[in-house]
Amino acid sequence: MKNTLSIVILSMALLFGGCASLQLQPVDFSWPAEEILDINSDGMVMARQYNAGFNVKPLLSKEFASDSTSAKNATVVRVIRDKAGFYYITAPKFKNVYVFQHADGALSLSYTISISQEKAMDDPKFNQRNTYIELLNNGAKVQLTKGGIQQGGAK
Amino acid sequence: MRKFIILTVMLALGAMTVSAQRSDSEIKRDFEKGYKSLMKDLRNADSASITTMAQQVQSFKEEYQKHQAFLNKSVFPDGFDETIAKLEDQLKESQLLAESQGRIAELEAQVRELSGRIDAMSNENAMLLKQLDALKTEMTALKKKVAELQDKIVKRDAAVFALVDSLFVQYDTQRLSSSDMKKLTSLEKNNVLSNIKRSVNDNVTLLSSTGIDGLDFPRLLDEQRKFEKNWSGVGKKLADAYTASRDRAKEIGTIDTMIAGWHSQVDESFWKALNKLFADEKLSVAEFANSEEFYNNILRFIDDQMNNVNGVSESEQRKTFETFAYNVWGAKVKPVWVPVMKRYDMFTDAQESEIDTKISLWQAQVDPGNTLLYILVAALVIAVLAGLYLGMKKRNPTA
Repeated sequence: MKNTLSIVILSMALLFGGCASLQLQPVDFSWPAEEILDINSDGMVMARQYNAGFNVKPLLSKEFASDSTSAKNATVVRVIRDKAGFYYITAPKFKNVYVFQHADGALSLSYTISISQEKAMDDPKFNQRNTYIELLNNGAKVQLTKGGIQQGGAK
Repeated sequence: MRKFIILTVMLALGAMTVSAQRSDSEIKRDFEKGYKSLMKDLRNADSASITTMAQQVQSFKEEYQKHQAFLNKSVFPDGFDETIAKLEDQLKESQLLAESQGRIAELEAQVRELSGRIDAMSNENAMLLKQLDALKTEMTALKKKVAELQDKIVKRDAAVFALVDSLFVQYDTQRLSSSDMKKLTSLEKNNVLSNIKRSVNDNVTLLSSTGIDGLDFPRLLDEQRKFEKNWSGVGKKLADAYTASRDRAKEIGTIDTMIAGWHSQVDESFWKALNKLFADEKLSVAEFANSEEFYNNILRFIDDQMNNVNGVSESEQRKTFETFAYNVWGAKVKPVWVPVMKRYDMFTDAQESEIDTKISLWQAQVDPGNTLLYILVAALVIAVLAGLYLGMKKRNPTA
């Protein structure tokens, strides 16, 4: 009985352990350029080239908090995906860049990168730079990763 | 001041940097937008704009060449290379189209010009046809007027000579005395010389008018000869009557000259009209200007036809014979011209018979079925002529 139990436990461990360790690498989920996506009346945006769509209403609520007018006036968001598959989202009048990752039927916020607490960005733009995402903001270039601003990235 | 300038320059440079800062997505968007715009312009390009368009495509390609790798990844589905290839294909197609359009435009211009010319010509033709119709009507009216005029001239000529005759009969002047002023006054009063001159002038004018039909010329010749004969009768009497008046005697000389001129003109017109009769039917009778030439040329023509010097087919020979014998000689020359010619000793019975005999022989040649008949006819004619000759010889043994 003890032996049987040991065999079952060992088999299960091997089975699940094998599954968990299987990884396909390397991967490249990067989008070559950012997508400038229009927000429709329901708050949905659609990246047609990648057949990806999601609702940005909660994001606008989070960014503008008490300022519902700014949330209502937002017409576009800029989105780019890095090599690892993280989504970087921002928009004009935002002070932050939001990093999202895939979840089950959702995009879940992974990190919020604060760009400027005082002044909102006028016209932020992303560029794909493979090892990082470049943010253009009023002539300044900032290197972003899923964990925040890369050291020495702000130029 | 120096600080201010440096600051201004730095701000300007900064502003340029900000405004020139494009994200990759904007490069991609501008590329796609530029591509769409160029494609649209290329599709609408014509021969005038295609050269500029080719330069724009080249500039576009050069502008984005440095982003080739990025655009190959980001522009879906064609990337930079395929997009540029599509653009260049479209450019080639548009160049060919523009070239064709240029040719088409040239052809269209030619067609427009030609159709314009055709329209103009059609209008001109329509106008000419209209004028022709009007002229035909005018010509009919003119011919009628000419006939009327001719008739009236003839009547007046007769009246003038009747008047002169009456005057001379009335005063019984076979030998008019120069002192008989009463008779001269009467001649003066009735404008005899003026009327004769006017008659001659009117006849000469009539001769040169356009409305005269070809067949009228024998009649005109007839009239001229009659007038000339009348004048030769009264001219002598008038000359005697005017012996005392040098001016009037001179005037009579002038009338003589005028009538001689009219004689020449009527003869010339007569032969011209007769020549035209043959020419109109395309009969190659050599031109003639007097009765002798007329007779000789007709005989030569018949001989040539019988010898078939032109080497034409039998049907052509028959056609020529029919035209000559029936349409011209039989229908016009013989009944209308020959009698007048004979009346004024321009043509003889023997000449007419000679031509008729030749025509009979010619017919026998072109219509062999009747050969025997025509030989008999010819033999009969010869027999009659021989009989006449012998008869004349018998009556006049000295000849």
